[in-house]
Amino acid sequence: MIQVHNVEKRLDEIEALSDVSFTVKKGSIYGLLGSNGAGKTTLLRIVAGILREDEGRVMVNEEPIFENTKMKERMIFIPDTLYFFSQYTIQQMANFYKSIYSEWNEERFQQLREVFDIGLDKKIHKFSKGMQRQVAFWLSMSTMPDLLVLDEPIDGLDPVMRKKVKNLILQDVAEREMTVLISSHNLREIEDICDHVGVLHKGKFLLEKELDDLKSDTQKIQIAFKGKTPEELFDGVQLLYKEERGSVMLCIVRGQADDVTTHFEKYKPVVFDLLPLSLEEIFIYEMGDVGYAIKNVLV
Amino acid sequence: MQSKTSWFSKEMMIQSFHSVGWIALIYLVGLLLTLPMRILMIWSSDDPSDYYANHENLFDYNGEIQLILVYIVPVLLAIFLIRFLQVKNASDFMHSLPIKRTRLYNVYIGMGVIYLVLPVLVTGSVLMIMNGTMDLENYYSMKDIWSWMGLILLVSLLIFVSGVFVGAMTGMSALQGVLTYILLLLPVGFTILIFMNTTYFLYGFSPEYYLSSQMIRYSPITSFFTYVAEQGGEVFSWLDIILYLIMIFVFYSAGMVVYKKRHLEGVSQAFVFKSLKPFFKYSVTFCVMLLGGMYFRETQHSFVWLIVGYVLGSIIGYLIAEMLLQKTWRVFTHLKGYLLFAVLVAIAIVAFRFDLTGYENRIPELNEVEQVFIGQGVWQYKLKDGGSSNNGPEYNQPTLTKKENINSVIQLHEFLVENKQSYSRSYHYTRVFFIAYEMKNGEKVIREYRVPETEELLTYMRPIYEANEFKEKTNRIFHIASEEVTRIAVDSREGQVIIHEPEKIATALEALKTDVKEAPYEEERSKGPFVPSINIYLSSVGDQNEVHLQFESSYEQFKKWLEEENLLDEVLLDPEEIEYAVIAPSKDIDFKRDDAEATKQVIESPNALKITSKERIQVSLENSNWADPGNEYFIVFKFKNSEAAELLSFQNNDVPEFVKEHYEKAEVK
Repeated sequence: MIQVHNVEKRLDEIEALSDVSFTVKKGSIYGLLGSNGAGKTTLLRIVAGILREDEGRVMVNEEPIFENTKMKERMIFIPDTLYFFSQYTIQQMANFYKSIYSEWNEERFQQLREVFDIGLDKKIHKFSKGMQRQVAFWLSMSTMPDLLVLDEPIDGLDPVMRKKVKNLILQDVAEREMTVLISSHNLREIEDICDHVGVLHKGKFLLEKELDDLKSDTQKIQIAFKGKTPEELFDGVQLLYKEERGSVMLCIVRGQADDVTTHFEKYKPVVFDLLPLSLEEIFIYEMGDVGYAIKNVLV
Repeated sequence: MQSKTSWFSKEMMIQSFHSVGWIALIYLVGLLLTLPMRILMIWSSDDPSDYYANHENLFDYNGEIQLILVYIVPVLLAIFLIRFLQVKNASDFMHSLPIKRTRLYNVYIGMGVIYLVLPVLVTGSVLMIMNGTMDLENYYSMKDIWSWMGLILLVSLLIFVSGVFVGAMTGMSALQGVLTYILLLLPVGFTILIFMNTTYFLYGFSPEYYLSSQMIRYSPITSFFTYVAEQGGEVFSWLDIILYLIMIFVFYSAGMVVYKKRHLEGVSQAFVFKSLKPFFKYSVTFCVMLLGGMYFRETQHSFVWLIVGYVLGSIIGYLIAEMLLQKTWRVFTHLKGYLLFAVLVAIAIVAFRFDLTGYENRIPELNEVEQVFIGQGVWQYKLKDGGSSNNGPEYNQPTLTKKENINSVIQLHEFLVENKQSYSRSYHYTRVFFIAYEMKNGEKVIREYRVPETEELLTYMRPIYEANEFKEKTNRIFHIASEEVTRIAVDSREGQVIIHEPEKIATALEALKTDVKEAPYEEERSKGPFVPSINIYLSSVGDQNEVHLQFESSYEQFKKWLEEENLLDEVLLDPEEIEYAVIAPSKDIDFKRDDAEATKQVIESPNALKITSKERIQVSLENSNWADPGNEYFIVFKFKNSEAAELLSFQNNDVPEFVKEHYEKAEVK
């Protein structure tokens, strides 16, 4: 759905993005992680066809997105700071969307009214930030987009509404194969809905992972031996992290759970447990030093 | 798909009306109040002067309010219509919509045009209905309505599209407004700045020659103002209208091109194109520098102040530009660019100051010159092309063709150039020389000098101004035959003499012609109240049927003629009638426009010089002029058998010898 090739962008003499490449498959939910100023918003604005890349290519459905009305009609960008025409009510704004987006689904719009439970004749600019964000989701989902680009979408929503919005997104992804590109500075916010994540740091793409792979491919173990620890213990496994607490060792190693278990069982440990590993730990250990630099993003 | 989102979307129209509809409404109400309402007010008024007031066109009704509306409304519209370009959230939103920029641009420009056109059409229709139903032919005609609508639309649309064009380049609404006016005024303003500043460096450069009155046409703001203020001036010919239409199209297209290339990340920056920033910065610095220099030079008249103006102006301009570009007032450390600019300007100033271009010393060789015009200003030179003067333009054309006269002008020119430095100060009695050489090769050399009148200067002026060719070309008297003259009238304080017999007119005219030809140059200066004036009335129809002369003391032939006719006593003041005269230096007198008080002070002055001798009184009478504290000496004439006294003064060049001697002696003591 989205192909970003070697994109570079300078904003006001500052390199905002350098050599960024990634791909988002149709029907997937891609989480774009990065600390403040990493370039997430710039990247999303380019993907949304607002800014033009200086170098490289941004393709949506195999077509350059910039000034491409056909593709933009199938796409909705919800920025972190929302914009509605001043003094407009929800109904007026919906009329505007209806006139712009040909796939506008009035039935959906009326259905969602029950989910959000906000009066149609209220002026949007009088709402709180969270309410405005709900309106933005409401209007966006009613246009039946193929691609949803969300910049820090969860901010300002209460937990109940978060869940509702996430469910709405997941539903569309499941039913219509909608593609979602979502940015956040907090891994925990989005780890439950994303199937892929990419990390942007100081304008560069650090890594890109499929979450299921990542989770099944990294193991946290607790292991203890009676007497000396065998020297060749870690031969044949990729050790990411090791910590000794008395005679107990805490290690993070790469590999499938079964393989790892088999490997360590060979040395007859007194204690051997596979421990649950959070996504942020995976990132930190996976990325080593860089991981520590961006630790705050992942927590 | 395209059918549903039609090109001119209703929702976009609604949206634009939400944001700028109020401007159109204000415009409509403004126009309705200034025109139909005002006309109704005059129409229903009892004051007959209202009824008979002559109204050239519809801009005559509340013209100043119409001007303000036309200047402000289109710019406001341009700012608010494309406000979505200057606000980040709005810009991101509008450009994430599936609408191409060209369409956004066209829709919003289209809306702007509608908002500008509709109020004018409505007002025009109201005027037409009024015209058709009421008795209003004294106020305006149908043709007036059409030309009013056409003109107001033309100017407002041009201002609007230029506002949009500027808006596409800048990222700040306030700056968009300011820059729109600057852009519109730039052709006029920049020309003035450049020519005026050139004058300060090139001695002899004539800014007025280049700054013609045509210049107001360079800007819709000045030309429209002149048109409205001067009521039906010659602006807005068909050529102007075509040019305006072309400019509207040019700004519209340029705005579109710029908008398509616009980087949206530049929102809220002064300029969205990086390359414009240095251009803007140094243009502002340069223009404010020239403006500062002009201000100080025009108020202080000195080169030092000119440089002070340049320094202050350029610093202020540079800082303003930096502040706008950096969007902070704390820019005082970013001065590297300024230093570079200052060095370049300093080099240019030195180059001009030492006349490295050779402009100042370029005096044509005698054999290169076909003819030369020498007058008191460009206005006189330009009278060739029409205009009016008392004697008629054709009788005041000092274009000299005789070799010896051209040579005299060249001599004067050389003197002016050689004495450049001494002429930079002192502006009390100055004389303007406008010299236009027309060369044999078709080129023109134009120079203008403003210099104080000195004795030395007079020695160079006399050969020119006393030459027969000059006199014949500047005095209408040489162009009239006695048959054309209906009467000659000589007027003075003493009385009036009228000559109307044809034979007498013929002889009197001959005497006058001889006198004018013989008159020394000094006599051309303005004279006081004792000098009679001579008016020759012609039979020709028109307003130029009068030739005016001063009865100079050197007019011996005419004096003799009057004497023979026993008419002289009736117009010339006999010194016998003066009891005495008192002269006092003007520095002793506190002259405050109150002649009686000053008269008393002159008489009571400790340094007063009282004269009673007939000869001295005669000399004083001939040389005295109106009272002016700028002159060195005041003089009071006391009449016999009367309380009346006349306060006058000697112009500095006309101080009689005996007065000079008296006060020189007094100083020595």
